[in-house]
Amino acid sequence: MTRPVRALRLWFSQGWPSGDQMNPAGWRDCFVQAQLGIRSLYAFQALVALFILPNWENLLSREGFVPLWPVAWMESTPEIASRSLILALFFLGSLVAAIHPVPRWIRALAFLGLFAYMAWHNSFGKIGHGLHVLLFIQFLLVWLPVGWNRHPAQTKRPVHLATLFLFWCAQGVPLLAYSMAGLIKLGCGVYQLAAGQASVFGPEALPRHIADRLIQTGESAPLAHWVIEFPWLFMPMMWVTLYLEFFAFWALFQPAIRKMFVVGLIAFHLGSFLTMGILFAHNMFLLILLFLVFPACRCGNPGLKATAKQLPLVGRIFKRI
Amino acid sequence: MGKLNQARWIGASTLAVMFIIGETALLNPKGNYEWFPFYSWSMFALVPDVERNYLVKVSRTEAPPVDFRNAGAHVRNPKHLEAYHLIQRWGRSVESKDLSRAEELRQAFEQRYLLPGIRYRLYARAEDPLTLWKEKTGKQQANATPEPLDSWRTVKSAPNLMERTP
Repeated sequence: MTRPVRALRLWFSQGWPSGDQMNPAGWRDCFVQAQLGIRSLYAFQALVALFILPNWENLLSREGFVPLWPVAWMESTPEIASRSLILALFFLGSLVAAIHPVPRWIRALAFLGLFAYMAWHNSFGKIGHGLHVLLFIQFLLVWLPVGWNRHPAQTKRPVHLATLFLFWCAQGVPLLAYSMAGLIKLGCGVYQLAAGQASVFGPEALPRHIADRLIQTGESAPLAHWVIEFPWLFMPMMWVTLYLEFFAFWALFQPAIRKMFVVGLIAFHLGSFLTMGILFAHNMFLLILLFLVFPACRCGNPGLKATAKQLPLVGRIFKRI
Repeated sequence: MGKLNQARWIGASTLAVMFIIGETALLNPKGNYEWFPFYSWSMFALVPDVERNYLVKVSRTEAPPVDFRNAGAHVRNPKHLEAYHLIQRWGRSVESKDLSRAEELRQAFEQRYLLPGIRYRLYARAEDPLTLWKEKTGKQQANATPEPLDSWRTVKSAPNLMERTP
């Protein structure tokens, strides 16, 4: 293996508890946390399904169906039967997986139920993105190895590591989504700057987004007026958000800064709610669950300065201090 | 294949596919930047500038017309984001002369959001969001007057089922 490839491989492997860098007790702790995290993810999906239950009748009578490809077959089947089938699959699949997510077919059922529900629910002219992250996570969890649920002492190291790796990839799903959002914002920002338009780098970016959004919805938000009136005060918020989003996936490979990034992203969601009335509650909950409650990673407590040194780009400044 | 290798392969491929197809979805000709369930996550990517947008004014007979979003009890779900996007798509279809699509969207809007007896009309205007906000909060008058794109229409009353009963 050439030196650059080896260096790259080392860098990419430093974020997940490979076992090589930890004592067995360490990775067993992480394994138990991952097990609890996985069960909690199924409990969360069941909660999402339970919340739609009171709307069951309204969902069955929704109008303006324009099917997405996974539910195109619904056009040639009786409406009430196909809608009932999808809702039942989502509800039962989620509930059974929350109770007993051990056999792969049950986890596959939970994934299929969520996929079918999302495809149908978003087939009415507008696609919402609150559950996309959960869908990709559930896809990954279908492939958990046999024995993932057993006591660490009863299973072998490859099962621990395979479970931990898939859980680590599941943690990567929301972070990758944020990085993709950051990448596109950055690209559009450069384009708009070059075109002489208001861009993400200027003070008007946040006020314009807020005004545009609130005109669309006709709603109001507690901090909207302040941001629009005093754009300079809030400009750093936009830059910090861009930084957090763009480098979110990087944080997956840097355990020490992961928590800092996740807290920052949660603050960003709260800010979006206070300024635009957008609450990405599902994503916030997933961040809390995957990184703060069950991080499945022995990140330790390296201290603020050591953490700051690992920050992408600005970490170099702290290294010199 | 060992369990760990299988997990590595599935995990890394899923993330790679999510990224590659998600970013490729930016090229989707429909302009919605996604191929369900893959999404580019292009949320709030472009900072809104002066742009052409569409609104619907509604009125009861004789009453002065008001913006659909402020029509309160005369319409259904006036602040629904789906309604806003439906109006935008309807407006764009009218201006691009895609009349069959425009008619489809108009009917969908009428069925979902308007009540029988209501008059309505589609307008367009080009305005900066900050100006629109100032207009909304009463700090500034809009520079551009909305231009009508359609004639006034009236939502037909629902058939009275009681009258049909023998």
